[in-house]
Amino acid sequence: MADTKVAPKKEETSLFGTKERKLLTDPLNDDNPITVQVLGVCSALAVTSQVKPALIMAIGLTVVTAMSNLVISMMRTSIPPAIRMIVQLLVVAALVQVVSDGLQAFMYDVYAELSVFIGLIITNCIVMGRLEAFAMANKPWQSFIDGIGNGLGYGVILIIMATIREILGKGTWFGITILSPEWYVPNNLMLLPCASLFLMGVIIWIQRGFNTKLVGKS
Amino acid sequence: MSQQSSAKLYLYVLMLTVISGASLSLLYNSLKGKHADNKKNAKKIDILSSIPELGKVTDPDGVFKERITVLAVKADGTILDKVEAINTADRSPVVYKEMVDIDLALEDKVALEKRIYPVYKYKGNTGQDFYIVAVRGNGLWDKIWGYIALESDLNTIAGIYFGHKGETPGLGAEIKDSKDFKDKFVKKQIYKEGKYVSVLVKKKVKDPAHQINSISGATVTSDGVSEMMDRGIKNYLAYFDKVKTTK
Repeated sequence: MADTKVAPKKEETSLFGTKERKLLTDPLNDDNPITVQVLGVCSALAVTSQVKPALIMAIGLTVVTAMSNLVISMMRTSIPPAIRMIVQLLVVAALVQVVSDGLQAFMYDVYAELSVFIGLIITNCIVMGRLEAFAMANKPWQSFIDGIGNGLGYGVILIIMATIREILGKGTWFGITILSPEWYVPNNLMLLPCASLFLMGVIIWIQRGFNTKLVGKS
Repeated sequence: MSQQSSAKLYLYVLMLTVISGASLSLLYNSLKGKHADNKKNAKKIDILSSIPELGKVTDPDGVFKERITVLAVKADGTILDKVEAINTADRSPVVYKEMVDIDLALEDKVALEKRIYPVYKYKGNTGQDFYIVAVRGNGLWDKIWGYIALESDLNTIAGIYFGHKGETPGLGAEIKDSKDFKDKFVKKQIYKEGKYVSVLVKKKVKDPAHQINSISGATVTSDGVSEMMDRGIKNYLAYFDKVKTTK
């Protein structure tokens, strides 16, 4: 019997198939960038004292991760392996600069609010983390969706933390007074960085309590 | 690494550098004008926000044209005329195109005795004049600044605006974000029985007409605001005396 070479099965990819939907939903719980992958933790601690900056940071990061995932995935076959990380960094930094210049020109009030955080996005581990873990080995559309998914997962945790910290720490949510200053004395501890540390620990604890799949994962 | 692949590597790096450098600088240059306009607009809005009767300003250029006269004064009370203020040949590296460009951040680079300070005189709805002065100081992480609107008595504060470069949201940044903090300054006076005391920010308020409470958790920023109020307004005292004597 002659040996027949079996051609490797071509991976099925579609626009919104099961795999693509999984890329969007996994980072929300099972593969959350902050609580499971433990990436981007420093910015999660820094910008969550109020909901507004947390939301803006989450949107900014989602845009940057998705776009850089897309660009690097399109370039992945041509990047020389020796300078792989430098090229990734260049793409991310260039994208953030474009976002920054665009905001400064067309949405100046948003730019003024974000001015400190824009530079922080470049250093966020989630961006480089997803480039290395996904975009370098997957197709552009899937990489783009992965970026969106991880951005959403990051955003969910950020909003949860910021909500708790702002309500307990200032009595407001997004600037709207929830706990009236007439009876509620704001807990200033919640606005300090240490509060975000133990709050994140509690969130991870609760998540593992509900999602037993994660227990045993280091 | 073979000669061929290392040549390819260098070519790739060169190509990438040229493309990204060229496109980023092209983008920056095409948007530079818009950036400058936006920044100027935002500054005008900040200055006008110290006037309570204005509320939210949507046309800062219009308000500036109709109601604001910009003056430049020195610490000794000299009022510079427009040409003198803009022609800063002996005060390099500072150069201004128009009066509204006068910026304390740039004045910081000039020798102390040569510095000029802006006064924005606002004509109120009832014909009353407000004098808006600019101050600048140090917060916890970086610079802080403010525009203080004084009533025509050049003593009572009508409104105030604070800005900062990098204070912590929820703590130091409250000087800008908290309406309550800014409202505390309204109706406070900078002179006590003819003597200049400014309006200071203290942990324990002993003199309610001239002091306000600091922000809890933001000691360094509050101290920075206090020092800025004291030293910053001092630069205008000679000018105030001049205005009072010519009235």
